[in-house]
This record gives sequence, structure tokens and C-alpha cells, in this order.
Amino acid sequence: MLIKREFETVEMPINVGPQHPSTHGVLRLVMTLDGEQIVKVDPVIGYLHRAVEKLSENLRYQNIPHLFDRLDYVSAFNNEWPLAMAQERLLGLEVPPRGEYLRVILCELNRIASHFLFFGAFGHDAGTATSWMYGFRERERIQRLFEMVSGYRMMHDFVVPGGVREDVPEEFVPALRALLPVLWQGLGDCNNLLTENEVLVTRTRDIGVITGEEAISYGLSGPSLRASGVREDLRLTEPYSVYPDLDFDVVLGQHGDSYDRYWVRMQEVAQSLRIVEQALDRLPGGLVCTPGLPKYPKLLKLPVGETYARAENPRGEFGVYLISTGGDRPYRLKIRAPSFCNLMALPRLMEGHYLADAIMILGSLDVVMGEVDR
Amino acid sequence: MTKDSQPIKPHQPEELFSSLYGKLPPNVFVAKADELFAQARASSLWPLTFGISCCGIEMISAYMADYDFDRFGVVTWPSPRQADVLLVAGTLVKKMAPVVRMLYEQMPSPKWVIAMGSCLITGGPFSLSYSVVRGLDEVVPVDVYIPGCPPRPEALMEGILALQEKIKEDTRRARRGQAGPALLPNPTYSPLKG
Amino acid sequence: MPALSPPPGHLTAEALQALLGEVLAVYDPEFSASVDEVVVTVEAPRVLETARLLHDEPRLSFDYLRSLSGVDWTDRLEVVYHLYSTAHRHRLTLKARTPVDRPQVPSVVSIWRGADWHEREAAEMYGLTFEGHPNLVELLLWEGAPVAPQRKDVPVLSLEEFWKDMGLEEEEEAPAPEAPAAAPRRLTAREQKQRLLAEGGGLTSGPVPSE
Repeated sequence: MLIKREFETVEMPINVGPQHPSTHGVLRLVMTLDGEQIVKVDPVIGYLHRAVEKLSENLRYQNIPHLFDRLDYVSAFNNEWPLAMAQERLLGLEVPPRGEYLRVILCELNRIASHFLFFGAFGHDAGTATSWMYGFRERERIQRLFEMVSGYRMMHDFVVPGGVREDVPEEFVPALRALLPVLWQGLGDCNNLLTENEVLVTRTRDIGVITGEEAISYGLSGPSLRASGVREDLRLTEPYSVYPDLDFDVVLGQHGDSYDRYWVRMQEVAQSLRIVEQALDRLPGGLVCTPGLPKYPKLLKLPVGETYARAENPRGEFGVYLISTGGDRPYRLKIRAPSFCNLMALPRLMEGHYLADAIMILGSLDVVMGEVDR
Repeated sequence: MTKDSQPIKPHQPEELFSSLYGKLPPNVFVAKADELFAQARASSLWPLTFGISCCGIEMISAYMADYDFDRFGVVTWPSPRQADVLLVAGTLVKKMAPVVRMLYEQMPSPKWVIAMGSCLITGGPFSLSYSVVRGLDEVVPVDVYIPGCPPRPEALMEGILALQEKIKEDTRRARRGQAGPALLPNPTYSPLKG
Repeated sequence: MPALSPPPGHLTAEALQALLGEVLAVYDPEFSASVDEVVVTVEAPRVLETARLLHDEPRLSFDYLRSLSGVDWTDRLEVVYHLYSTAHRHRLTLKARTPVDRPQVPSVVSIWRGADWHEREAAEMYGLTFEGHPNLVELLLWEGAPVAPQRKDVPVLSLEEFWKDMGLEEEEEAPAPEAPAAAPRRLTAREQKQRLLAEGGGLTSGPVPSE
């Protein structure tokens, strides 16, 4: 009996609900499938909307970093930096060099830790369980260093306008120097596991391709943008802090597919390790924070003005648009979260692919729902 | 069993089975069935994979090699139908609350709930927000609260150990007729009722 | 500290402002400056043409929309666009002003695809309507959420109200009630045991250990 090749199919909506092991947090995808092919994807967000922007309008400037840490909760130092930068611009502060170098060291270490977590999650999406272990082994080492510095493993509240809150303890620099070769070794292990792995390459090559112009039009940033070959890195194009003095390469991909987004992040870990090594060699002595700033409970008051400060987060461009009308609280604090803008491109990336590829695409964008929903 | 008509005295376990002692090989143990079940339940808690936000990252750290939950028998499991514990980690938002309730009702008894993080105790740092539910116990009955923002993986392990103690205590209370919500019969869940 | 100077080879703020004045002359915009960027303010109905000109003009080519925010100034609403040009590496802040009783702004989704969710969020948070947006539904809020919660007339819960909600407020000390006269006092454990032993009961037979 012959079975006809073409048979009628009906489009079926399915719900990849907010509780799902592979949605990287509370993201809901309402997919319309035709057989195994995705016809349409509608992401539903807001399952973690904590109204940080509204709360910040009622908080004093010294209390806002506590909430900002919890936005991109994987890389907390990187969230505090643009907030501190915005306040410094309005106040006209100069950060002492030791403060700048410490900021660079801590934020690049956090970038490394964040990319290791991405490695774990991406491998898990591809079907391994080992990648979590490898990624978190390195992340735990870095988190122990962070505990030495700020007392916290994750939510530090350490980068303040004018520098960092306090100087690092004496054990920090030797411990970090001893850790760097271990991190290089760990990066090598991770690369050995997945980077040339045939299964991963087959699952991610030419999946979720986006060209450079489209990526710019969607407002993508960070490694997701650089994987499409667009040379946009805020540390290079709008250099801030001491990045002009440090020597590192901007990693670009060629195809704009999921594999390139993964590969760019792995190479960025190597570049960040280079930056940390150079910054450690150049770390000067001296103050870590501009003197004369009011210490809590004295309140920090900002003059009237507005500014948009941005930094290169592990996920892309994290922007803080701060409007101040004088006083000790902001008038409007808008958070431009990179994962929010990257996630906008998800329907475009997923259409036409199979259901099995959908999770790889989502994983390669590396979204953190805390900053998507804010 | 008494030979003569003596008043029945409360027996110690050794007295009850004293006739068997010495007759059983040394690798045979006897125990009360309830306590055996309680030990089995406590030693093999499978939490539902439910990390919502920042506490979820510390929860993942607890599952990983440095802190290793597997040695407690705790294995994360994605399906609510086969999970014992609802380990919620992160801020509960009003949009998410019906989802949590639905997942709790999908879990079969006996089931327990652990609230990890300050956000699930009173709302945490976001308690003044218009969109945050001030505590997980407004949605599901909670057995163990773990304070912290985020709590360390060691604190989460202490929470699991406290839950294990609570499970054994719950079993003893059920024998006395004072069952807690964990050991009640499974409520009928109808998707139409919502 | 002076305003951020652009990298060498790129337009200074004054040059950019002059170029903008020339290109946008027909729309008669207002110029001002934030700490580090040139700010162009137009009335809301003209923002679509202004944005298209900013995007298409080859000397400007603002092809990257960084951020789109709503701001509530109580007497007016503003939509603030932060623009960036990947070709020329200059940046701009564009503001569209609209009165509170008519909060409608044309949507710029046709120019920058990345304005999509930003506009949805600004619409639900401030009660704005973006004309021409293909899918202006709720993004972050849920059914039953407060309407336009980020407007200034919607207050944030205060700490005192929160404490009252949670039942944590401090109550005044009520006067201690008098103890009832004939209430039997609970025996302590030692007294219980002594009474038990005196009555001849006990769990074990044998000598009572001396206290």
C-alpha cells in the first residue's frame, strides 16, 4: 500500500511554559508548529517583572545598587558599573587609577564567570550534563575570590560612584595570580569538551542565522552581535575607564549562527583572561575611591541633568538612562538591558527551524530573565 | 504473647522481637514500617526544577560538584508529576503565582515546599513593588523557609536537612492522627476548575 | 569634567549639532545637551519623519536604536530615543514630546526593528499609544495589574504600609491581665515525678535514684 507523501497538516500551538528546564529562567514561548517546523514564536515575558525602575525612583542613590545586582544576576559587578558611571558623569567625578583597575579586574572576572555559566547552560541544552560541572567548577573558584573582596559570592554592591567601596585585601592579588593559570586550564578543558564536538557543531552550525544589518536593526549587542561579524564592542568603540591602555582583541564571528555565538563567547573568555593579567601587572597603589564623597547615612545628592551611561556587559550593552532633578533620588532611571533587546530577535531567529533547534537558538542568545523583565 | 494473665505493659522494640533475636542472621534488621517509609522519603527527595531568579543560580551551585546535592539523594527533576519537593528559588511575581499554584497541585502527595530566599518569605528587597507577591505562603503552604539574599548553597543544604527532619516528624505525627498538609490525600485537580 | 569628547576623527558635538540643524531644518527642532550627548526635541507627530531622516541621511545614518524610554514630566509625556551610528560612531538623543491628555506617538518600528518591545513596554507603563505598531499588547504586566504604573501619580508603597500589610507593626503595650485566682498551677517535671513515685506507680521497678 502506498502512503502519500504529502498529507495535510494542521498548525498546532504548543506552550513551552514558564517552568521548563531549558528556558533559562521564566520565559514562556507560545509556538505555532507545523509538524516539527516552527511557524511562529511569541515570547511571553514578565514572569519576573519586579518593577526595579519604579522602585528606584523612591530609593536613595546609595541603595539602588542593591537592586541593580539582581537584574543580570549572573554578573553582578557589571550591572553596578554603568549606574556608577552615570552618577559620576553628573557629579563630574574622576575615579583614581587604582579604582579603575580594580573595576576592570572585577568586571572582567565576572565576565569570565558569566561565560562559564553560559557554557554550562549551552552544553545542557545540547544534551550533556558534564558541561554544567565544568563550567561551575571554574565559576566557584572565581566566586571564592569575590567572597574575599566583597563578602558576597554573588550580589556584591561594591562598585560605587567614585571607584569601589573599599580596597581589596592583601591576599587577593596573589590568590588571583595563582588562579589565572587554573582558569586557563579550565578554559582548555571546556574547549576540549564542546568546541570541536561533532554533535554540538551539527546541532548549531547554520542554525539561527542572522546577518549583520538585521542584527543592528534589531538592536542586538554583545557577543550575539559580534557573531554576525559586526565590529561593535563598547570597550573599543566608546572606550571607558582604562580599556584604551589594555591590549585585547575583539572577537568576531563569520556566519552569525548559534555556533558562532558560542565560539565568540569562548574566545572572549581568553581575551578577558588576557585583560585581567595585564590589569594585574599594571595595578597601581593609592586610593580606590574619590575622596570627599558622603558616606551613608549622609546622602549623595546629584545635580540636575540627565545622562545615558553604558558599559559592555557579558550579554551586551547595558545602558542606564538617569534623569536627575536634584536631590537624593533619581527622577527616572531607565535600564537598557541587553538580554531584553537580544530576545526581541528570537521570533526572527526561530522561524523555519525545527523544534529541536529552538532551544539551541535560545541558549545561544544567553538571556537572563532578571534583566529582561527587570 | 503472655503465658499467664499479666497486665499488658508497653513493650520496648527489643522486647517485641526478643523471640526473634538470636534466630535471625545478623544482616536482617527489623523496623517500624512508618519510620522506614519516612527514611526513604527523606533520603530521596526529588525537587522540581524551579529556579526563578538569582537564588536559582545558588541552587544550581548546590547541585554542582563543589557542594553536591546528589549525595543527599536530591536530584532535580523537570516533571511535577514525579517530583516530591517544590523547591522555589527566586522572586515570586503576581504573573507567576498561578503557575506555581498549578504546579503544586500537579504534584502527587506526599509533597513538600521549600521557599528559598528572602523574596519568598516577605518579598525581600522587592517587597514594596506593585508586582511582587509578598511571600510564597500566600500561594502554597510552605514547609521550610531559607533566609538569605541569596542564601549560600550550604544554607540550602541545611534547609534540605531540616526538611528531612520534618518529614520524619510528620510521619510520627501522622501515626498519632495529626497529619500535616503534606500527607493529606491528593486533591482532585481539574484543569477546568482552574 | 568636560563633556565626553568623541574619539579622534569623529564629529564633535558642535559639528554634529550644526549638521543636524542643516538636515532637520524643515522640522524646526529644539537643541539642547545632556552631559554627553546632543539632544534634539520635536513634537510627537513629527518624530517619525525626523527619525526616518536621521536614519536615511548618509552623513548621519543613525542605524542603531540603543534605547527607547518613556518619561513622565507630569505636565507632558516624553519618549526618549537614544540613537547611535555604527558607520560614523556618533550618538544622539531624540525626544518626542506629547501632552498628557493626548498620549499618542507614531511608532518607529518600521525604521528600527528593535523598537518593538521597547514601545510595548513604554505603552503599558505610561499609557502611551504608538500609532502604527503591529502588536501593541501587554508585555510585562498581567491581567489585573495597575494601569500605567510608572506614571508619577501612581505611588510606590511606603514602608509603613508594608509593615501594616504584613502585620508587623508595633502595637502599644496593653496592660497585663490579672491572673485568675483559683487557676491550678502546672507542676514542674520534678514535682510530677515525685508525686508519681509517691503514689506507687512508675515505669521501672527497682530503687528510685536519689535526687
